[in-house]
Amino acid sequence: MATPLAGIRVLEFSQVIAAPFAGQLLAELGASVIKVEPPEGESWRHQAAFAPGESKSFQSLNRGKRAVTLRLDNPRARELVQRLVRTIDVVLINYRPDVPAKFGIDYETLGRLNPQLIYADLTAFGRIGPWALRPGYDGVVQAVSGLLAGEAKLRPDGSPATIATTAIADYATGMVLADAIVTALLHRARTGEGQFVACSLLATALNLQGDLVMERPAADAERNALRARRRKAQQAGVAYDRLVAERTASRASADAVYERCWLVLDGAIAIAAELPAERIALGRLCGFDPAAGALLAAERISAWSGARTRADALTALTQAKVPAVDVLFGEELAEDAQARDNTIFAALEHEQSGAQTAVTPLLRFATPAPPPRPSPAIGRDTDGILAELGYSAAEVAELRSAGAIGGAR
Amino acid sequence: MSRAPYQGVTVLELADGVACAYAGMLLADRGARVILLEPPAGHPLRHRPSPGAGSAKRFAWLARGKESLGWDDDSAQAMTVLERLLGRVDVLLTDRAESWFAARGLPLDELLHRFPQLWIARNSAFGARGPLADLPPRDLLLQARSGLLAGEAKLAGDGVTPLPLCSTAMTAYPTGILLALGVGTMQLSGERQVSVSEYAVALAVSAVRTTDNAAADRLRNLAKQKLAAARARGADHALLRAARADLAVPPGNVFYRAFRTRDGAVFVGALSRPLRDKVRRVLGIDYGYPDDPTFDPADPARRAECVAMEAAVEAQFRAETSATWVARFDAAGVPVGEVIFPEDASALPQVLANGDVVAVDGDASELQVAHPARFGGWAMPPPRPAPAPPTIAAPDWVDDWIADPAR
Repeated sequence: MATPLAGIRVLEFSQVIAAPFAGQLLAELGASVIKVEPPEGESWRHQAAFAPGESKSFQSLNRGKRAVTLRLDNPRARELVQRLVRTIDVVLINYRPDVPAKFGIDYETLGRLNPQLIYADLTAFGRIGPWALRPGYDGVVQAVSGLLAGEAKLRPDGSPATIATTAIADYATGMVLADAIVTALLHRARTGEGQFVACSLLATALNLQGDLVMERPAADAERNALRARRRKAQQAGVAYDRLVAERTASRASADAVYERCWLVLDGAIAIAAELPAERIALGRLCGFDPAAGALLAAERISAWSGARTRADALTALTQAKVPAVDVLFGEELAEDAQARDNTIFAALEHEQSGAQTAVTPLLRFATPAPPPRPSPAIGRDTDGILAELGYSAAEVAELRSAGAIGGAR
Repeated sequence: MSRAPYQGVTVLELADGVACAYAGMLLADRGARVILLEPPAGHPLRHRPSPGAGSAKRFAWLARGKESLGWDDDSAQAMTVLERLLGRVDVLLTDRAESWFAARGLPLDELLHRFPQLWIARNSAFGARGPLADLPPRDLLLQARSGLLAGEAKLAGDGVTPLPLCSTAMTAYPTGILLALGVGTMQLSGERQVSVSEYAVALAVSAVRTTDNAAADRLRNLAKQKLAAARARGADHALLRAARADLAVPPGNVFYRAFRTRDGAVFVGALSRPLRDKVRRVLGIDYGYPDDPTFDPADPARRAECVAMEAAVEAQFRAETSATWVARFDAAGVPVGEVIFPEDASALPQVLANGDVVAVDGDASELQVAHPARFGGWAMPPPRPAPAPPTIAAPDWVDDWIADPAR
């Protein structure tokens, strides 16, 4: 069984998407992950909940973990954490930068107890700077990083619409954090040293647009001229949607006809003809002679595709070696042959909510991964973890009545 | 940490797509020696711009810190050179299909045997099996096939033809991060091969749509059934979209969205009851949805209320400046931010304070986005520039070239 991180113990103080996803990746790789939550459970359990304390999104982000409920503002709970952290390799945390110290779970405190500790910190905007203490979500980061405006998607009233299919900054930052943790584990394996690693939603969002955000004077004459014009228009009070429309128009390219979607009789297809040979082949399919010199017109392709079914269009394109696929909806992928043949969806049973599927494992090694384990109910493992730490049943009951830990399961 | 985390690791990048390019960049940033194989015409990323960025910038960004080696797949010496390289490097980072390797007498499942020091990190794109196994990992195709594109409901001027997401190669970057994670995991564990399917990544980041959860999926199952029935009838794309109407977000969400203001736009992010109550107070509205359990947005009267409330709040935001709104929501503790364009991001005080953009080594005028993670105790040096177009490698000098530590 592929469990490359077997033996690594992670203590996760996490909520919402990014940090929990990082912890789930580590759990998927075989690490032992303990998630610390307040007694009512973390906020994402209650976002679009289908049952008390259970939401589909939470269940898809917290597989394979054990769950402990603690009141971190209770000194007895903090003692417990300090005892626990001596047995831990990685602390994973996404609280606002000023919060951990208040609860004694900052790196200075925990690193002193365990010098080999890897402390992995995730914030919305970074640990310092004018926004360091401001609260943030993926949508806010999309806005302030340029992702939102860059997407050029507008609501009917002309205001920006978000990338709605996924919280891309959140997911990508979770991956960055897991990657940084493994890098730190590598260093520790070599040197015995722990360390502090950090990432932020904002830094990730910038990475997702690296080529748009970067400044390269030698290549930027036109870009910077457009930027200057747009800033001037903004100051003059031109509305947001006009600015977006102008920016989109300035980026239009004749190449776009080769890489876009087309309607077919029974749906839509996407054609990505990048290489010259692919473009010539596409033109030929549509009865277009490239030697004639003109560019392949969109009307020609849409006439060709619009007269065909998905199956016929894709068969012809595949035979002509033009990369193309059909446009599907997320809800219909479970039955999809490509997903099935590659065992992309795994089936599992959740104690509280029953049958579900998951996209796992994301990293595949030579040996198969162990079967996925579902997400935990609130505080499911509190008593078990305390017993492992050496607390007696009486001590656990006492901690509970002192309000340091959550209710029994 | 005095030594770069990946110092001493040599990576051979044999790939065309952004995912492997970004993985290679992350590893190069962390001290790995990353050798990029380029065809005689130059790596495709030299020529393929992302919209509005120009090809020079995309390659400068993704190939930073790498070394280039020319490799002519059509030449008689191609396989000799490749085998010499595979015998020397630590990691092969690739997005070529299994059939590509098999056609050249180097089947992937034999490589680890033939080259005992080698590890493999692979973007298997759509997956190693199935009808799409040989498709290249192109962003548009992955978005389309994974439901990301259709689910986004971004439409062309005809109101029907779907448009792809364009702000980022949104399946490629996450896949690249996971490939880098895979390389690190192999180093820790002795596993010698890892593959990540960019298609699976696209499905994973939209798991709420793509996966089944019997207890949670009442509306989703309705939509699934209607969609399947529409497909069976051969419905066109407009009707297919309509079949999913049960999944449409009803109007009336004024708590987690962007609003035009008098001089731009802001995003308000209230995702909990307490935060939504704060928004209600700031806006001075008495509006129960979505926290009042008796408020049924399906009831026509209530729905009309939602539509009216949304329009009223939009007008409220348009009447004042972004700075005013940000200050109000900041004071109330509600997540809020001003909408900026990507070309303005590098000048943001928050970005500068955190070192999220850095000057490229040897050219202070070029600013690139910094590595996304920070490591305590190791000051990551400035990124080195991307390589110039290389000469084509020949067997008689490639061994010396790769052995030269000064590189």
